[in-house]
Amino acid sequence: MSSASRNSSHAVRARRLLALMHHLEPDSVTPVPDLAEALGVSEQELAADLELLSVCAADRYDPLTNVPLYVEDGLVHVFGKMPALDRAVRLTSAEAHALVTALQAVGRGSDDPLVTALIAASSGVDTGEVERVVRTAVSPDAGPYTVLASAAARRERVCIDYQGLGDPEPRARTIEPLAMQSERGAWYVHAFCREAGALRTFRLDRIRTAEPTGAHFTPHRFDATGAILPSENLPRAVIAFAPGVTPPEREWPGSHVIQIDAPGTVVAVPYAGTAWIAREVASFLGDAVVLEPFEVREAVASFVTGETNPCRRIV
Amino acid sequence: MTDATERLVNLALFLATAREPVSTERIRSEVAGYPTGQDDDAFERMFERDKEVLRQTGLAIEATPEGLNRLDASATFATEVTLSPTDAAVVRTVGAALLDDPAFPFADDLRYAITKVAALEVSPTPALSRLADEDPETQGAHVAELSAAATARKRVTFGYVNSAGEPRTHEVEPYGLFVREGRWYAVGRDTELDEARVYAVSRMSDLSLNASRPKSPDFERPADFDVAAFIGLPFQYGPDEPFEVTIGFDPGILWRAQALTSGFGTFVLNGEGDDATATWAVTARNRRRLLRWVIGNGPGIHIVSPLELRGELKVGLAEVVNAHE
Repeated sequence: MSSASRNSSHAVRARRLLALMHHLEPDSVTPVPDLAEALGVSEQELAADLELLSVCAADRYDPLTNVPLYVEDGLVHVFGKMPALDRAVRLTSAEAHALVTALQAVGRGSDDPLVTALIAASSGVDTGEVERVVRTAVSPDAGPYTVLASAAARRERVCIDYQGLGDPEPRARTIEPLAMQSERGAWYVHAFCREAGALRTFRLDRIRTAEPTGAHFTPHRFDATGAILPSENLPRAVIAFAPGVTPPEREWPGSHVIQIDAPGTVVAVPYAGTAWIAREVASFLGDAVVLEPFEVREAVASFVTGETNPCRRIV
Repeated sequence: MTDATERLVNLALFLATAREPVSTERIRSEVAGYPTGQDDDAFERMFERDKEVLRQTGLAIEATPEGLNRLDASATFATEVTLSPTDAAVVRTVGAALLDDPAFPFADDLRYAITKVAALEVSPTPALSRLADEDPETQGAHVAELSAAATARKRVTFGYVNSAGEPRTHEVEPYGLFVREGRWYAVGRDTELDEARVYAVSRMSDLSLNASRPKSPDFERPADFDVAAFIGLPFQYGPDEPFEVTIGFDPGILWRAQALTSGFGTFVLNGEGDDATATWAVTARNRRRLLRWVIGNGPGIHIVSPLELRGELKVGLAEVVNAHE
């Protein structure tokens, strides 16, 4: 390891230890796993950091200025007050910048009360200036993110009005929110839907209203896979695109090209229900044609001629 | 032998507990970790480096006119903010999502920011994020470099393959960055073209920052620059000449209008209550993408004008039916 790398790793670790200090409550006992989870570090890393912190002192000649803690049997024992730095240190400009851009991603812009309160209390950074230079979200509105994230943390059921694809009106559902996910700028909530009796994923910008019900739940088992639509076990539609038309592979999760030969490209697209794929194919206005299966071909035709046709006023 | 990390923490604690400014000599003797027998120049370099590291964590370490060292408490410590459980959940959950997203380039700083501002009692909701879907690690690394260059006002050069597949090297003064639909974009003045351009970060290669005179800016960002001016809706990018379109929103979908229009164009509400409708005038550059947008976000959205675009939609939908009957 080079001297510069060593200095950098010491700096990073010192930054971590200093950030940890104001969370160590005097005369407290905290399980290492709880503290590690709260700080977002591994238990081993935290235990090593605490070990090192326990030998630090303000004055090498005064044992009363040692950091008063020890780790034993997986518990962090703090047996007195920190000698100093027991209050939150102001954010550096880079930290404030990171926080502002992160909150932007959930629709909290530079003039949002939470953003202004946090930054005013801890940094001199101009949040508007940060927003003029970096944008992590196009829309200033992330919908009911706040209600769902906090309800998930409290394990509280939420009643939502949700406008599914193809639904002419929003429908009421009671959900048990389990996890939040951002995918290419759109937020989703993974939840147990009590109406469906199964896990479902809801796109936040299709939720018209979200109200906590006050009723709590025991979370269902949920493994986040990283995919909004796990596509391994889904049926596939085969779709041919007209020459010169590029299939929207990035917008269609799990799709792949199966033929590039003239006269056009053919792709296989996984689908969970026909409403979504019918709408997508129709939106290509004849430049995309479903070859199979029949149920998807039928769904496309019905989509255009049916009552939910988005353009029925002019067709 | 004292670990270098331990020495840094010791120095921070020493300065934070000192009741008055302290001399460098006293620090050398009382802070555990400075080697005994170290020559003065080596000590001086180590001490200056240590102070700089601590400054980068947020500690305001100053020198008095007499050459003594002090920690400015008012500039170091934050005013206490007590977040409501709801706000704490928002902060912790966005952190849980973005800290593990390789396309979010500010994760390290975000981790420390959240540790400083948010109480730990609120557990984050499980959360995931995928800001970028094409090689997110590379996009994240490039955006970190571009952001550093924009902050330091340093020019960058990179190879770039445009949408026509033509490779070329660009020198750019980076002004800003935005992410849209799974891709990061950089906005900056191309020094050869002498105009502001937008570049997809995923198409960059061999990105390098002008290393000469690292502490001297190469350029100034225009005072009125706002990266938002370069962000568009999907149908606002494309090959067509810009044209004005008016889109109507029926009452049943009006509640989604704010999210769908994202503050672009001119939005006019017609009427009140449950029967209210709206029209939205906006500039477009891609007819096909616009029609896809209308279909993809309906029902309840229709084209008011231009009339020929309505006709194009009607003909296109008839073709869809013919092809699938």
